[in-house]
Amino acid sequence: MNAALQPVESAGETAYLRLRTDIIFGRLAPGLRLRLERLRDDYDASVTTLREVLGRLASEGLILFEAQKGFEVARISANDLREIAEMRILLECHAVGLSFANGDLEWEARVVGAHHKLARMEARMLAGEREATALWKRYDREFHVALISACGSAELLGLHERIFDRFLRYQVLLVMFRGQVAAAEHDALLAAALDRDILRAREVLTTHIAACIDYTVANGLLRDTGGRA
Amino acid sequence: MTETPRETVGASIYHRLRGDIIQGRLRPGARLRLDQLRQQYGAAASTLREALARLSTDGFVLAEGQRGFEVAPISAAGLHEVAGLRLLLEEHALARSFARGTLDWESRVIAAHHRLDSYEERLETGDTSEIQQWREADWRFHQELISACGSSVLRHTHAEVFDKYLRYQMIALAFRPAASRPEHRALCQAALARDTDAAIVLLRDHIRAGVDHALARGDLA
Repeated sequence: MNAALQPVESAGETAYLRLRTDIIFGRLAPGLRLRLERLRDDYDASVTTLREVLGRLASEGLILFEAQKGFEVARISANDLREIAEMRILLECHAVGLSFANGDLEWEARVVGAHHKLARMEARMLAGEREATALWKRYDREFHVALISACGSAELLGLHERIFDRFLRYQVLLVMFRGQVAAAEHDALLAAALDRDILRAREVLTTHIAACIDYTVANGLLRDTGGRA
Repeated sequence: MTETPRETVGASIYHRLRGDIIQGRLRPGARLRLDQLRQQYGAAASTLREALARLSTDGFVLAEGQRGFEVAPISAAGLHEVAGLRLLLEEHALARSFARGTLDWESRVIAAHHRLDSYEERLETGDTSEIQQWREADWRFHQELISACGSSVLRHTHAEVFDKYLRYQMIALAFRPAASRPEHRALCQAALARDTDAAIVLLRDHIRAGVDHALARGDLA
């Protein structure tokens, strides 16, 4: 469920969140073999705890288990990115419809607030300050989550979060930064939210997310294998 | 997914627990005590913790910090959410599958429908001894319908949501074979005719009727 928002209560939870973040932010590279002995030292957790954590991450599609080989960080491919992007478009466009219809003034305030943080961060990134990537990505995520936060379905939000994070991993790994264009799309999304213009928001979102795939292909960042991920 | 023996134990405990939650043998809201589960499932506490942690990620179990685990509760609102998601994903996948499906896909759909129809025929006569096989056949038929959608992310996500929906149907004992039989037949025909619009309308009604039926039983109020 919403792991990132749960209070950290146990060694397992801490190790889970740390490993998950390290995979999403590319510190554990795609295809990397995960050896329990090594992880035990790096994450300061017992082998039992780690097996529990790896099982959860496998359930989320971030880790792969293969007979004889053990655990490895899920590999990336153009095809997988495309499938994840399509799923994000489907879930997020649906959630936007529900959220725009239900959202109250508190919701509007959350959206405006989240957009402000993101816009400030984007301005810094555009000014050449690229070391703040993790924070920028966090604000990007918070803005998109705020937009759909009034959708009224915890199931939908949970599913979206998992897909969003898999998408985020690609963005981080491929060092995607679309600069001014993406910032303008965020502005358009904010305006659509305040106008409760669902169709406009869906249109911008679809462009916004699909553009990441085009960016990847145009920059030759991932070889298109055409096969299954 | 193939697994080494050491993994197999963990995976099979995970699948057994998951199945027992979906079938309602482990009731919504029930506390899951490791000492009890250890006896019931004949597994080590560490294996059980591993399985329960995965199930909490799947949303079937709630982890209560240090206090342990409980089976995720159910509610009318939860059913509406899950049904809404199932419809969203399945509609999208149906359209893609109908557009891309090959002759092999058609043959898989027909075969799955044949199995399902035969179970529903027996249920209509009042023979309820094979509820589980029927549910499994229903699952298989709906999976086959979308199996040509071309996205494994979509199929996995749909399967996850479908299982949550299934849990509601199992717990509410919402069986309506007499009604669902013609609906499944019409869905199968729409698939062969590649009539996406008709299939989506059928699916909407099919799921709405399933939800209404479950809610009418009153267990979810």
